[in-house]
Amino acid sequence: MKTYIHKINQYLLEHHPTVWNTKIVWMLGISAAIHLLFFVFGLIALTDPELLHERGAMHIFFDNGTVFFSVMLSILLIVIWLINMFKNNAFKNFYPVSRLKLFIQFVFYFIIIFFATTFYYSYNLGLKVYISNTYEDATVYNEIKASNNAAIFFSHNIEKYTLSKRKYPFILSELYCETRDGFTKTEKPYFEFLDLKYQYYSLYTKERKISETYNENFYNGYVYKRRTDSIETFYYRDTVVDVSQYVKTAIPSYYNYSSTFYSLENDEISGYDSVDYNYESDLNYDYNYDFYYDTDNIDKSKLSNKNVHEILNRNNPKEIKQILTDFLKIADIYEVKYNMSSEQWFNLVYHPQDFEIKHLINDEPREDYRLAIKEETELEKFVNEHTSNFYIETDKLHHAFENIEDIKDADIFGESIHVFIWLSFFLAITIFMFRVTGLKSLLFTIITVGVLTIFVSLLTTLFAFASKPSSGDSVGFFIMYFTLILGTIILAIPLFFASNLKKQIVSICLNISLSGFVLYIFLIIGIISLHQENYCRDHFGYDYRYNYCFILMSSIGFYLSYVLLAIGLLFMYFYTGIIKKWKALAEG
Amino acid sequence: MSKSEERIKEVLAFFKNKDTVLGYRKFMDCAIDTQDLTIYKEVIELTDWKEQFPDKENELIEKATTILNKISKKAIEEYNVQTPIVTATNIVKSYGQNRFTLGPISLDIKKRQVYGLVGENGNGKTTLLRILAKELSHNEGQLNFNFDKQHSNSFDLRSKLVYIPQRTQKWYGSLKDNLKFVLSNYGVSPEENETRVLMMIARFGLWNYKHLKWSELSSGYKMRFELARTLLRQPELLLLDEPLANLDVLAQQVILEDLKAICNSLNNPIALILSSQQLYEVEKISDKVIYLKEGKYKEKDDLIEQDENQLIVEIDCKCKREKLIEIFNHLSLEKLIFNGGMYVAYFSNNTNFSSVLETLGKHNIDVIYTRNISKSTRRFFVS
Repeated sequence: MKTYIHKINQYLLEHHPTVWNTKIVWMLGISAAIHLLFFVFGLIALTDPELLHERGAMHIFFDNGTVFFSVMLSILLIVIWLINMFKNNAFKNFYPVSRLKLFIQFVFYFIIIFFATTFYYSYNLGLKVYISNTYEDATVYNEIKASNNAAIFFSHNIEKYTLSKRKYPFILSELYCETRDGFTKTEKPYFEFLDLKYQYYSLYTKERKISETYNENFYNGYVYKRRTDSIETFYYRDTVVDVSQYVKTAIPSYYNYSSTFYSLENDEISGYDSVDYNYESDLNYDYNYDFYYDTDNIDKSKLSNKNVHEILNRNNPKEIKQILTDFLKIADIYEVKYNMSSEQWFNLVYHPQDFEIKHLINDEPREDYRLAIKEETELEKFVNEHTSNFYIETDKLHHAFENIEDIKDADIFGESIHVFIWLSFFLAITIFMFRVTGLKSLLFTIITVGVLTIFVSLLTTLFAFASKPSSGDSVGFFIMYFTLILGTIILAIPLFFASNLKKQIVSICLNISLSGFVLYIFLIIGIISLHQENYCRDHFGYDYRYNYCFILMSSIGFYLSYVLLAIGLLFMYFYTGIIKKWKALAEG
Repeated sequence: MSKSEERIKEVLAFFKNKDTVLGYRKFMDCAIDTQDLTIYKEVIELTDWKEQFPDKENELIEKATTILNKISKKAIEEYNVQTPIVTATNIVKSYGQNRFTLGPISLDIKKRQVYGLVGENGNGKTTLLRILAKELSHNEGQLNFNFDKQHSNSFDLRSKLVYIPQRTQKWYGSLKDNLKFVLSNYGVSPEENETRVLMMIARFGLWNYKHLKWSELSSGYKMRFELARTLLRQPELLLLDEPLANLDVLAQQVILEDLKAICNSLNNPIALILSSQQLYEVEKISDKVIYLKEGKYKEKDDLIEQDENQLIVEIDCKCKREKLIEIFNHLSLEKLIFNGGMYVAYFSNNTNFSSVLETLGKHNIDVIYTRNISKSTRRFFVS
């Protein structure tokens, strides 16, 4: 093995001195092995389905300490690499070095650091591969479908089975079910269960263009609103409607269930036609609305409730028992805990006479103690009296489905790639500066940047203090333009005045230029964008046209990162000529 | 007879007189000049054998002679350009107001010449070397370089100006890899790299040290490795600052001899400027001695011609001053100075050094050391 390594090293030394010196072959080799290791770690990280029971399983890299292991390995790897690379320096010794060769050296540093710090991605890829293979799309889809059917009989929360949730026949979803205490007109048809009253209203609407100013008084008192790109529609109660031909009783029933236990992100019926309910105090609307399972989606609720009606109307005990049995099998697969058999569950829920709720089932093991409640509402009393000792942890299954979907759909690189790119870029620049100009210049550069920062901050504070309090923007412009001028001077020194100044001073400016050019471009883009934004605001104010203004930075968005990287690399290539010129300068 | 033939003949004479150590070094110089890799490989093989069997001198001579025969059949193109590669005209360097000023100095530096730069500490030797190496800027004057291989930019020029400072930097990693790294950076083909490095290692007597670490080497060997690295760059100008510092007398002689031989290469001659405090050794090998005093430059011959053509003798003996004055009285002694360590006697220009020696012997003076420094720059140090 040793001879083999020696042979490769000698080959690289004789054929590609830069490759040999930067140790890129070994670094990429070792990094690849560690990436593989992390990939395997990722593969085995979620083998226990219980780990999917909590939300955010895709962030297990941070939760189980792997992040520390990864960071330590990265640091160790980079330190060992630097120790080995610093043994030789062709540029420092004035060996012939072309511009391209210098640039390639920098690119190698960048690649090495990037590969030695991004084990996170391999780990996540491992997670994704494991989840995708273990929980195949079709299987999970069927499991979710089966779970959604079984969810009708979960019987956890009485709120899901109250009359106000009924959406089928669809006419009910067109109406508004008033449930608030004191808002019911008792002389008109209404339904009653314990102390709860339900009264159906037709609705009328008011529309508003979003571009128009919002007159709060005019739109006051709506029950919910819908919003499209340019129009907002407000819905108001109109007249009471008698729905007794559709609704027989207000007793909580499985017929009322219109929720969906779990819907995939890319489910064809999710994500549109949702409404925003009005919780504003003028309505005295103290309603604890349950958002938990995306229940505000009208279309989904309608379809769900229709499905419930179809199943219950068939009234096939065998079919219902099968639904429950199937679900318990799924619970077993995901190691979700429960304490009843499908038979017991069936007996709790199967009451073909209107399918009323006779028993409630817990969503976690029941605690031995009960919270003492001073004054229970009628409904709370009902719940307490009807809650059984059975439980099934359906939330955990929901989390498991959510985790599986999240991990499968996750973009492994996402936005974090920018963090790694720029970390690698600036670390590579620092190492490059050290290799090219030496430790002394690098330290002086750090000190100079510190002093300049303090200087700019002090000057800005002074400017802000001296200017009017309302001139917020001018302070921003002052700091930006001042930094721009300072940056331009620093950039100009190695380019045009290198031979007029001390080599050491030029080296500091050179280092600042190397590390700051990308930031300099970013600053210019920032200044342009700020001007565009100001112009736009002056012309259009804060109305909707404001959104259509061309603002450089926001129009490039995250691509700005890649654009800046390309500019940074291009700059490095052209700047290597200046670096060589500086190196050749005589001292004194 | 061509120069190469003369050199081969010289090597054979060394072998004949059993001056094997010196002969083998000269033999390697002949081999290097061929620039022939097959010859290099044979010499490398022989050096390896020599280090394994150090006692088999006759066999070594025999094997070396065989290779020498092959070398003699190789045509060597001699380098014969006489134009200076460095021309300095009225170079002046001053450090601030009323502080040290070097120059004005004018110099022409040619290949195959060894320039000894001498002078007391603080007289500008290192400054001059650094100016010539373009490490330090000068305030006035012109400095022109006229190398055979033209440079395309200032960095390219700096890469041709090889300057070794007094304190060389530590090497890290394998010594051989460091040497190979030089050649690969200079674009030497991979097939030649190993052979050329080993040849240089052999030439500088580093065969048994090539596997050591830098920290395991003595100062002398560190300097040898540094020279090997430098010469692999095939410089046209070599600037050495105090290369003899920290070396013992024998090592100094060997290094100077080696430098002289390498400068005198037939096809790749080098212009060498070295500064040193070791006047005797430097004067011995230098073609030209540059003496710096308070930043002003004089060539040795100019200085001595300007002065009276005295006989100046350095004498170290356990003898009283009065006694010496008495015995030298008839030799037209002009002055006798005791500088704390030894006497410096100044005689008129018609006195011979041999008469001084004769007088010392005749009076049974217990002389530890004596030297005629009339033509040496040492006279300026002791006065």
